[in-house]
Amino acid sequence: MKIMVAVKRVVDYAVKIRVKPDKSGVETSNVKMSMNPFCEIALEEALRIKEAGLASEVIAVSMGPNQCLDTLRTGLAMGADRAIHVDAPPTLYPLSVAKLLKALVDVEKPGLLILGKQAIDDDCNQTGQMVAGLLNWPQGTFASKVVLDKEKQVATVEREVDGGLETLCLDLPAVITTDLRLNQPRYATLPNIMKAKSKVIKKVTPQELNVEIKSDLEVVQVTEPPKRKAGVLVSSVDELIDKLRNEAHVI
Amino acid sequence: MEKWRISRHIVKRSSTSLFKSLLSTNFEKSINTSGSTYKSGRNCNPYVEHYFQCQKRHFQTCCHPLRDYTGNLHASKATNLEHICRIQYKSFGSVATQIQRNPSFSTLNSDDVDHFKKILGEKNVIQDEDRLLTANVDWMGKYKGSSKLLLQPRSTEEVSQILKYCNTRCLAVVPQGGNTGLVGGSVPVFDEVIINVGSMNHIISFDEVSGILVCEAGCILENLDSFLVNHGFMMPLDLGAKGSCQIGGNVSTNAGGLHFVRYGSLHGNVLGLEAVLANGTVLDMLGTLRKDNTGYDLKQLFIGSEGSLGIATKVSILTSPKPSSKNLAFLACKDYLSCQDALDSFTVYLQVYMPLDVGAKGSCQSGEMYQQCWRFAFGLEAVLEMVLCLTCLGLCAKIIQAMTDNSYLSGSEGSLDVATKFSILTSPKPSSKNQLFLLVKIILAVRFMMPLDLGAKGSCQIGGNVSTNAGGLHFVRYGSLHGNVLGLEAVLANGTVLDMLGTLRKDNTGYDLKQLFIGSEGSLGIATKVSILTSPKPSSKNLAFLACKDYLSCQKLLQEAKRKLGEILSAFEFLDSQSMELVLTHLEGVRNPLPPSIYEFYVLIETRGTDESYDKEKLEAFLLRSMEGGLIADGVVAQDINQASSFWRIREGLSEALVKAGAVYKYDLSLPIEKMYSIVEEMRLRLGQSEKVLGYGHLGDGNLHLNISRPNYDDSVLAKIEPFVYEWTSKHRGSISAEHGLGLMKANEIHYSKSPQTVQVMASIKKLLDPNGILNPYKVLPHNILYPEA
Repeated sequence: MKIMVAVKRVVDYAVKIRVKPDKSGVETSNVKMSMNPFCEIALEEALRIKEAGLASEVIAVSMGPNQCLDTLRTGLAMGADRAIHVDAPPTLYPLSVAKLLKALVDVEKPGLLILGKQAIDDDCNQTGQMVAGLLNWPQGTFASKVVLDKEKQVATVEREVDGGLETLCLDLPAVITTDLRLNQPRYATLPNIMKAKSKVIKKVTPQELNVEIKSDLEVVQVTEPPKRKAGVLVSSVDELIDKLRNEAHVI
Repeated sequence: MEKWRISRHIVKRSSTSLFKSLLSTNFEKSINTSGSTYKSGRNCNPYVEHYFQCQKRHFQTCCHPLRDYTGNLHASKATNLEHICRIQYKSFGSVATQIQRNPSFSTLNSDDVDHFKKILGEKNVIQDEDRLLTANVDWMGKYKGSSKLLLQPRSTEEVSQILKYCNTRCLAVVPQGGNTGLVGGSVPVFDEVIINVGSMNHIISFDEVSGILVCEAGCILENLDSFLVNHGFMMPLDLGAKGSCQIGGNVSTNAGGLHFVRYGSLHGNVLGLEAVLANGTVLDMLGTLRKDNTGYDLKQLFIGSEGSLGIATKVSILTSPKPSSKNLAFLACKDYLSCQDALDSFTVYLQVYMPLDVGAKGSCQSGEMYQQCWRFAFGLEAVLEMVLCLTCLGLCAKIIQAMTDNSYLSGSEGSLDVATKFSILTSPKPSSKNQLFLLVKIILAVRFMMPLDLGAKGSCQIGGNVSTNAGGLHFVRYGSLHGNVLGLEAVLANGTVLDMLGTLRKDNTGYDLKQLFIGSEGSLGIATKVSILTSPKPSSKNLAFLACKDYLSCQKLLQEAKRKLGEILSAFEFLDSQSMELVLTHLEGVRNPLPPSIYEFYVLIETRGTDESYDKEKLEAFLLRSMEGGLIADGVVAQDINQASSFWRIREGLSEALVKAGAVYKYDLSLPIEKMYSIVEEMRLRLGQSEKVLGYGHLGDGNLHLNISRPNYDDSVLAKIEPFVYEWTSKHRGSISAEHGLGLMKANEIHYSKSPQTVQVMASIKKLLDPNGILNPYKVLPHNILYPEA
């Protein structure tokens, strides 16, 4: 069984996000870019399944301009067997990504498609659900535990929901999206970095996959959250009560 | 460098107008005033022409800041010597008319000469007219003395004996090296005895791991450079006169040179100095350590003192690995204004420095041009360094204002935050205004960074950093504060405000007094304002966490990293297996990046540069080669900032883990790198299996943090550690305090790292600046030396 993992190149988790002066989006030039942390978790899970002998190959997929190759190389250095780069414009909305993924699944025929639950840049949390719908596959979203049964061809997925854990049993092939506590991704070791150099990254275009890139969405404006006002020190309890009553109107 | 300045000056005007102005002012004036050196009434036209030719050469050097500069210079020097008699005609600006010979100096007699012959032997006491003539005249032919005696000592001991004798006889002396100075500093004015150290030209040692060279003062710069080339290193300074100037003279005049912008000043590169004082006392400050914070950094006083405090006899200097690739651009600008505007960045590439004058830039007429220049400079990976004066709120605000005006600096993502930082600056929070982190924030807003970074950065203040000469994690890249602090304002014990707040990258006027205050731990004065050189913030950082099987591999890896990674190497840290185990046991959320086994040694290598993919490729290629070569047993490379932080957490969290583990005996030692780990091993043997002895630290700087961790404090254990650890360090010419300072803890241990004479001079300085000893008493210097009568 093959496992396909989608990985996205995003602004590094530790970088402070700045909005472009023209409010058209987030500043990405000259900013450290890394693999989306949820995608790292997805890839780690795929690698663990393969290492447990339940899968034969892990394929990493990324979409966007050429810089995505860096993210794919990271994936290969972590242990993915090969990679596919869909050469697409930088702004892709979830539905387009889902359509491209469906087209790739039709070609590669994996038994499992694992994605991060969301990307930390746009926080859409839609792609996994959309691609499951397009493929008409069962989905286990926000997975915090995944157990695979090779003989029965089912995946048992624990997901974190409000008030506890929900356990689902999915027939394979299926779509799984990963939550934060599923695993702790590995580091890229030197021997693996060395091996990754000889691994293949295949390039395809949306035209080759017969997918038309268009969106019904239009970004009107991106703004920074309002600045927090500085706090004040009150000199007495009476003043505090006064402020709560007359300024904050909470009592 | 002086020459370079002169020639730049010439470009500013046209060469003809310069010639005219010289002819009309200086030249005539000199003829009128320099009566004593103006000898006969020959036709002066040929010499005027000769001068013009010389200046033309200067002009050419300006257009060719390359190697043939040396050639020109030598040619002109040769010409000068050839025409040594005629040169007197162009002795304009002679000082002899203004200075009277100090009558308290004795005059040389034959007994003196005999005495010198006894010390030095016949052939090193020179009275020959011809040879004296060369030594009496500077190479421009501008200054001429009339010394009757030239002495050529061959050892420090001989220099000491000469000075001891001269001091008792009150004979004035002039120290001389290659005699290439441009301000008449190396020739006698009247009949001073010339002490030429040219015969002291031996290389004492060279350490290939650290790149530290120790040699005698008379070594010629070019000879040192060619010696180093064989070892793959180069001198950090390079100047036109390198074929004849000597290292002792370079240090005494704090020579700058062509690569100043990359390698910085000698205050940062000279690690040790041996100097003989006027009374013959030999001051041994000849450390070979990258870091040494024991007492005042006296050698700094001698750097740039132009032989007026003592004669430099031996020098220990930090050399750099020879770069394997060099590029050079030769550019044309249509007028001087555009040079001035554009050269800020262009000159970086031409290896000439011009300070960034943010205040004076005004509104950005040539903003577009600037932007191109910056892109150009960054694209070529040139090292950019800029002077940012962060002296007070007003000035900070001014800088940021200027940066905002000139959008070329703030860039799109920087500009947004400038307004925010500006408000921080102007908000009335005086208590936090000089905290390092705030400075860091301000600087980041304008895309620069502080040259130092340490664990305590959230609360330590810049004044304290400077007073203790703090080192930190990126010392290996940005060097010590002695090189990065450009100016200082300090208040002395009696309330005198000492304004040394220069913002110039280069300033060779008098003794560099601020250096005394850097690392004086508040015992000489209180630092009130600081001007500091910041570096452009690197746009790409990479970090690798590696395992090595033995200490020798770590050492070799450092050597290779310096060579192969060159300018992008920004940190080289190491820890041993015991340290790793301690961190894993006592710190929550830390995991072993290289499971499952524990290796003997771990190394963290960080690079900082301007091109992410290029830097990463370079680092990976280096690591893979080292792995194939067996230097690295295993390793991981951080793929994002989070991973990098978790690797740093292991190294930075060590102090915290030690505190959690119980009692700890801490030592901060500077040692020659090859011997650095032996103290850990010997300490383990000495204390036995039951004690945990940890070794970690800044391998790149030869700085070991030796820690003995145990459940509780025990005097019998302490007795086994001290004074053994100090004695061992002293025996191997290390320093008992690399970066932490002496404080109260080690005030009485200073003699383990500093010679009695040196400590004595420190005490005199302390008494001079703080006669009542009210500043930070009981610290830094031993009490019994400061107040022997008490």
